[in-house]
Amino acid sequence: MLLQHSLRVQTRKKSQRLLRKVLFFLVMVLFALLMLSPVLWLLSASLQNQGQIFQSPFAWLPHQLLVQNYIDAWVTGNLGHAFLNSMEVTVLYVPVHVFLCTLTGYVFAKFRFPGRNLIFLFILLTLFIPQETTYFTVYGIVSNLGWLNTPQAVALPFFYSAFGIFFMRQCALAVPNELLEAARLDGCSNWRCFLSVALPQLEAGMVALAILALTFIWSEFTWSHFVLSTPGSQTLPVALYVLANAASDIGHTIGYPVLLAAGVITVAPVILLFVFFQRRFIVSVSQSGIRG
Amino acid sequence: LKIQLVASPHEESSVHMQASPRRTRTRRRINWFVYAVVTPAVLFFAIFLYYPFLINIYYMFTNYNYITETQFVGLKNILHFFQDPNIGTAFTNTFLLTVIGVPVALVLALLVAIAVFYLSIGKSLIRSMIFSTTLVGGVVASIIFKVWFGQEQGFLDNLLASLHLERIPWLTQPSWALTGILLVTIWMALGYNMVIYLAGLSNVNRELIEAARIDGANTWQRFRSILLPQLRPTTIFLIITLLINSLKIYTPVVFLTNGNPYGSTRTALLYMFQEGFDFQHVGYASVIAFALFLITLVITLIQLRIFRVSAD
Repeated sequence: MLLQHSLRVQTRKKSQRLLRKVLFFLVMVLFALLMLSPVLWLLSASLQNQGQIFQSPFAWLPHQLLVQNYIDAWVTGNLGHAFLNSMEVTVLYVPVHVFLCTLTGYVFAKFRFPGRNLIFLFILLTLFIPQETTYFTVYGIVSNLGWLNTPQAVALPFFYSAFGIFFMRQCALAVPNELLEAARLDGCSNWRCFLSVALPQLEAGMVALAILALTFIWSEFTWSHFVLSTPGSQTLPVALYVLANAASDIGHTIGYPVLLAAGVITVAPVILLFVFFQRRFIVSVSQSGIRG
Repeated sequence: LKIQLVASPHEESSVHMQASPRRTRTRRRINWFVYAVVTPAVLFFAIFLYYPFLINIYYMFTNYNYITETQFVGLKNILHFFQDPNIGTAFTNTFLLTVIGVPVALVLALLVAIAVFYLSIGKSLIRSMIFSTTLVGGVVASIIFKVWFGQEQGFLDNLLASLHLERIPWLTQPSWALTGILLVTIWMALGYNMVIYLAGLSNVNRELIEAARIDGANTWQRFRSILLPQLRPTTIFLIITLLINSLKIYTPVVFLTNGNPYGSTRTALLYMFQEGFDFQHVGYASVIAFALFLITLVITLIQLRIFRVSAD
């Protein structure tokens, strides 16, 4: 009798705990949905017409799907072109950035040479210079090179970064010296040592840096919108800026639904990548905090 | 944080690659590989960061405008900086966004991270959902919120009206416009900040917290005296990052108000770009740039000092 009673109390306690866990989970789901609501709204509104977007209450599930907005954004909004430009900048920037930072970080981690610490300090101190304040001068350089309105103009001031070098140096410090020395004794050149011994060990760090570089350059706006002024050269963020101005102009040359569809097209690639490589994304961001 | 690591370099861990046989002369042999790697990096930072920084200091005393011949104007730009009422507005706005935005962003990130950390069901799902908002990027986030803040028919005002609350003049009244900019900024960064805090939380010594619980410490005491001190490095990193980013808030401002009405919502960086690019007053813009540099420097040094003192 007594045993049965205590057992019942125990199961009740257990189910209470489970209930609390489920409730906590549901509260967090609500919060996450609240955080995501602007994105969900964007997706939903991009499939509706101008009148429906501003209706109250907002129809989170569109009555009919206006795919035409996407076609308009792609064709009239010139987003097809911008998409290609963004791809071009990303493909140019990410590999070069990761390669340069990895190589430089590796040398700072694994070689001794006169002035090493001084040079490393020289690089790290640039973290004190807000890069935005360099844009006037760098704009002059880019313009003198005749590179205005080209993809390389967007990538140029970011090819190296103090953070990237520091990050990859931290990663390279963990590469075992014995491995490098063994390769050395086998007659590997410095270059071979880097390529065939160090690089495989640095893969995780490089992926992390690549993800950070990709999310950065894909949404880079401030610098890009100064150097990309012709419609044919604009990347997605700059093209969106032009569309946004057109949408809020008095003339309303572009409707809001088209602008929002353009927004979805801009965000979709990164979000899709994230859906497939969630853990990699989270790890690289966590590491950026720990190692930086 | 970073400078300290330079001061104590990991000497032991380097391979003496160029010094294979310990002979007198060969030790000093130039390692071409090292120079081939380091030289371009040094040149890059010299050209794209140090040179613009130094030439900005020179521009401060000139009327450089990209086109006509540059003339020396003495202290004109610097004196103008201290008399220009726009400077007061722009720096006050930047200051307000920082002073309100950074603490709110920090506390919110910590609370959300702790909540997610202690989730026993669907932890990675919730984490991914919240983090993904960071990937939207400044431009698209600003566009969404610009439509949300719309005065007559905006999503938020419609929502308020349906709850029988008063509509808010989001983008037309300066203080509400700044609130709007703040909202976008905090929303954009929360996912990132949360992940950084989650990484910090996973390094916290949980046995210590358990021991404190057994010793009878309540939730608040455990949070205050055990969790927070262990999260200190993470907090300092985030404060520095948030402060510096907050000084450079630009994209949401350009999209939401572009400084309007009447320049009342301009931030320092927006004003710098307007002067330097739109009006081609590079000399004057350089003064603003230098002020921003000084503020960044002072903040970082203070942070590092606090960190070092607390680390001792």
